[in-house]
Amino acid sequence: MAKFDVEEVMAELRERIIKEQMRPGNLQYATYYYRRMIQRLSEKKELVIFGAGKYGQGVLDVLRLERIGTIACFCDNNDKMIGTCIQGVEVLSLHEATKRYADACYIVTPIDYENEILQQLLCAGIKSENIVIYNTRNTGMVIG
Amino acid sequence: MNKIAFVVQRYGLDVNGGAEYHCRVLAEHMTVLYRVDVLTSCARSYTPWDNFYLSGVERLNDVNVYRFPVENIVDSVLLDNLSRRFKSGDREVEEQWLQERGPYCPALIAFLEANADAYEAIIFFTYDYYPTVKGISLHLKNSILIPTAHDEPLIYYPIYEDVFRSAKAILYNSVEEKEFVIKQFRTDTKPSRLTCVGIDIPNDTDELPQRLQEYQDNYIVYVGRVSKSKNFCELNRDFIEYKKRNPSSLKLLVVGKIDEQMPLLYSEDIIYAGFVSDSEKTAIIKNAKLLVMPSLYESLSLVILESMAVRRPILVNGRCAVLKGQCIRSNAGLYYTNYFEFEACLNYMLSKSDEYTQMCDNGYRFVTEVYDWNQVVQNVNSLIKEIVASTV
Repeated sequence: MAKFDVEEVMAELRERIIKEQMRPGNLQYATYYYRRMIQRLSEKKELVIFGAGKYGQGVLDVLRLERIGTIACFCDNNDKMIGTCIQGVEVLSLHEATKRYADACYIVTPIDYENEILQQLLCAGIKSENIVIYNTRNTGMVIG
Repeated sequence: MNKIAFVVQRYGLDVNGGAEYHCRVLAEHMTVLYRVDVLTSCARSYTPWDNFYLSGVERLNDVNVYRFPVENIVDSVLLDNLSRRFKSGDREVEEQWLQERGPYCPALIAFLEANADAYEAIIFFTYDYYPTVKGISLHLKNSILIPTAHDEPLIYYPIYEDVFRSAKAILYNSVEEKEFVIKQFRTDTKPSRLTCVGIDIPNDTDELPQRLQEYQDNYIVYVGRVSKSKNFCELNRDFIEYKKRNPSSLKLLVVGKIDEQMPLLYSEDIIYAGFVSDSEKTAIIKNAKLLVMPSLYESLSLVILESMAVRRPILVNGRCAVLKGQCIRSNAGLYYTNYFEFEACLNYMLSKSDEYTQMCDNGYRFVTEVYDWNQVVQNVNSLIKEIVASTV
């Protein structure tokens, strides 16, 4: 009998989830808003997640589960976050992100700061068709 | 016999709450070495604080309990407004917020100020309520903090910097809690110990309460407050999705008080057992397939240790560093970070009988080795002796 090891079993289960192509969009609790959003994001060539906190990281998890692999970086206003790496994705300042990824689609994730961030992105020269407000509360994915 | 004191927001046999329960069992076990006093409020409820118990002294399981009245009851609108103004760093706003958050017991603080020297150590439970914040800010030479801290928005409020800075020593509940607190408050130079609670292996009956016998051996169990703060909504949703995708007669049995205004999704597969006695709770866990814990914010989950003590594996939220750490260290269950992992873990645990047995045995071994009360009492005592020696 093989010795049970939590991490080994978790790795095995995660591999199976990837292999079986399980996607959150297939779950019954995924909302129409969520499905449309994922479809839209999957059509974009390059994505920048604005906000490297709880909501931004949640979006990264979801995009990975949906097999959307075009994430260029995080972008954040918090000096403490800039220069760090979250789950293999670099966190850049707004200035640096817009310089490197001027034509990317920017996903605004922080809840309650949408207007301020939208304004920042427009002022930084990002076209409005390349800005997506991702409201986690509307997706059915996260509670609270 | 020398004296020690515990300071905690609520205390009593019928007080709900993990930290309050933790305080009570530790205080009772410390009576083998010390005369133990507990300084607390008259409150039984915290939503809002009340004056349920009479003020004065009561003897409870060899512990002297000193209760002080709550001077004001929480005004939630005012508290909310104050919370919004908090980021300004205005000390006056912070003080007002702390009083409103409660339990506001100035008499407890006055007692502490007058009598602190009578105790070898004063052990403050939980970092966030008025008695700890004001008590520890007296800069007592013998203060020990059991923060029960976790990465939650509250801990970033500036007022709590002083709490961690003023504590002379710290007792942590888990490796993850210690790492988080050291990173956040640079407390690495303070004397400290790890593990300040033990688990008794229950000898209670195995028999399920009559009303639940139809679910015997065919359910997973959640034990705790049925509230948003415990992330129960996510479990509620995930279990319903699980049953749609994996039809069976499996139930989720929910033990605990349901919070007011808690939005619950209906499912005939979710059974609410309400608030039960300790022995019923043990029997319910013993008869379950496993115990599930969806909470995101824990410094320690006693109920998962209780589950291991009765040889039941655990399925925990891996987005909570403490729960994930305990799961990995004990090797007594699995953890999930999204719905698909929840489903995969649950199916694995329900279908792999050899591995399931190993998880049960691993958990039992972990609890008996790490959470033995004799060791815990010696551990806490060694910290008390260390701070006493440092003040001589």
